[in-house]
Amino acid sequence: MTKPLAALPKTKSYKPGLGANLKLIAKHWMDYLFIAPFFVTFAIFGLYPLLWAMQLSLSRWRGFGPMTFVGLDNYRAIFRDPYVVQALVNTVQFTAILLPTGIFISIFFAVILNDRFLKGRGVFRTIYFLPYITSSVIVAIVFTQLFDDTLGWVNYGLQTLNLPTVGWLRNSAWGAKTVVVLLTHWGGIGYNVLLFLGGLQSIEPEVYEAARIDGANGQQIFWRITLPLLRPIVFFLMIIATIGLMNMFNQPYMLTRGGPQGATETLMLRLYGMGIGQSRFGDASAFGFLVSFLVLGIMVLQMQFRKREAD
Amino acid sequence: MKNLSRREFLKGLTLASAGAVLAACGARPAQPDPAAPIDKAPGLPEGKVIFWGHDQHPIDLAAEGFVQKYPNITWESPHPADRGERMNAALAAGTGLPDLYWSEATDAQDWGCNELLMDLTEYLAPVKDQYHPLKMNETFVAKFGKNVGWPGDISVSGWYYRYDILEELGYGDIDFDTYTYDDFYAMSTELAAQNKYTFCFPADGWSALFMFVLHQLGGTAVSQDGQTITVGDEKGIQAMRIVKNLWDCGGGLDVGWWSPPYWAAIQEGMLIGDFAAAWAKGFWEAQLKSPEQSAGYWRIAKFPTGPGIKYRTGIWGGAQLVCPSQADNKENALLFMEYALGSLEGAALCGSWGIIPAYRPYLESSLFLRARSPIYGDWAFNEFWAGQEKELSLEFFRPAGWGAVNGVIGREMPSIMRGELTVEQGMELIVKNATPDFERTMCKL
Repeated sequence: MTKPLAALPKTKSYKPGLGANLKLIAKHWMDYLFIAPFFVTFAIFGLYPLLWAMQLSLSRWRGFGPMTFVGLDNYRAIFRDPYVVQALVNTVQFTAILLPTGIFISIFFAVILNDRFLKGRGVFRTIYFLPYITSSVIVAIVFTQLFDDTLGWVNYGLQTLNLPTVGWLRNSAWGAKTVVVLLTHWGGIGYNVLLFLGGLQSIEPEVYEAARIDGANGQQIFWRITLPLLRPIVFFLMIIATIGLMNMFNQPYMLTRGGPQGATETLMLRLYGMGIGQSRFGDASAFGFLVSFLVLGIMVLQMQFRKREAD
Repeated sequence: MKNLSRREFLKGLTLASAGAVLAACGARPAQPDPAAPIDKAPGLPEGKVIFWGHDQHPIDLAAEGFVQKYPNITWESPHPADRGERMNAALAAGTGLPDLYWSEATDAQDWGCNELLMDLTEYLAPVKDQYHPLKMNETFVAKFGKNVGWPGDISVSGWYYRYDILEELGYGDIDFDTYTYDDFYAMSTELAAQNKYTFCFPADGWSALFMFVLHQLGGTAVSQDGQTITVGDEKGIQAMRIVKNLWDCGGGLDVGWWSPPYWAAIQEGMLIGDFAAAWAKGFWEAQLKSPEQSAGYWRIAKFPTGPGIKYRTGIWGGAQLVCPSQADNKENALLFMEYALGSLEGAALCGSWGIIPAYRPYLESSLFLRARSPIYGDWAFNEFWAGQEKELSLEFFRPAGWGAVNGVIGREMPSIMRGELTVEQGMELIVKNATPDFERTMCKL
């Protein structure tokens, strides 16, 4: 028979001193050595740059010359920048379009590819994943030729069908946004499909069987069983994709360089132009921190929403 | 035999790895350097020169002559793809720098403003008359009163055109000495109706066109001392009006500049002209290799004239050679600059690629004037460029901060072109929106 906890004699709490700690480290030096690479790497490539960027964000420095402390002036400069608001609106628009449509399309394809009666399932899965591992630079070059306003294949096709042509890349803000959305989906859907496929395969077949016995049809099974059970993956993807989309850079940079007239300029593209284009490292660091705070805020909102939903 | 525990095995492995790393970091036996010259010529400078520019650089052609003249100097030109970023990083660190860098005017001004470049004033002073004053101006940093670069490409520009197609379509007798922008608009409109375009005008903005015309009018986007944005003045407004007329005439083909569709349109005879700099020749030669692709059918004309126009050429690009003040081989770098951009022999070598070294004795020499290119067939195109050098403005400046203004011009142009803003409103907006970036990148006196 075990004694109740309350009946156990109280022991004096032991706090090891510095000497004892050092002794402990010396005794287990090999263990510490093995976990050291992570901490060393993190300190060099994670913590140090972060602290350096923080210092930069409070300084005027263009990569050379003296670094002058300017307090919050760089942050104020970001708010005065005439193109930051447009970049923010663009980024939010891209996120609002790409996030739900991306998840919906991915689930759609995952469900189809999960059908065990589908012939050539493996081939299709490979095909859907291929864009994800294809060089985005090459894909962007192909897209620019496909969607060129004057000599592109897509407009040529539209002309052949006697349809009006579209100013995809240079003449229309929404035309350019559409091409960026298409390129992003084309390259990113494969990864999401793979995640959802994993989720679908982890759902026990007995659950579906029970539903069918209870008389549920295909649609009911999808909405009432499949989708709720995929919710953790949807949530995970929402977090990951939101971070990714708020940091969107490659697609607009390679397709339009942010044009026409800044219609596809995202926050990161603006930051890049500031930091790398104009060597305004202090301003760019301040901008980076502001974007980080924004992303963190969105994350917190998403988590709270998720928590409330779970409750 | 005693079995090793996992802990003992890992311990041994760690110690062995540490030993290997230490051994690798230790002194290695002396080996002959394959790049070093075997037989040194006595009395000649020694060492090396490291140069960063773009691939297939004209300066590398001059290097071939340079290493023959100075056999004890080794030439290295790795041309990193991200050379701009690397140069900034190396300048910040003060190490890992090249001895020579092919720098755009506004970058050289920026670095010069921060005293990061070698002062070339005393070396250029005795030879300054051998270069066009505009090119000397571009190497001059007003803040310190120093020249920080050696004048490189003069980047004069002209209107490239297909003479065979113009003749075929009834425009074989244009008097290019007197033709005006009005003539050009009319011709362009008529040709566009036949699906022939006389210049490239991407609909998302093309600040080069504006800069060409601004130069023609004797204007400048930024004042000479780099303290004021001047693009919104009368000349800027007039330049934008001309650009708007170019847009409205419909003769510009909406393709990305030098994009695959651009080259395809040229090869197919759809784009039959363009406003371009002299240095474009090297790139055109790489794209247009056979008569079927239009090689041999090109000519160049002065930019059109008109009311208020003072110069018949424009400026686009036109880099210079700079040497970082922290470079390891400054003496050799200086020797090279004097050779490549200050001697007939060197200038002829780098001039053979397409850039036009600003060195006037070369521009007047038969080496320059007799040159031929597959793009122009038998036409003595350099005689034309030599004439254009005399058309360069003395009032066009690109100090630090110019890049910020240029970027905003390209961005805001479409609203003006489409008529959403009047030219005056557009220019006002350009000045307003360029000011924050300009103020943070200019060279404050």
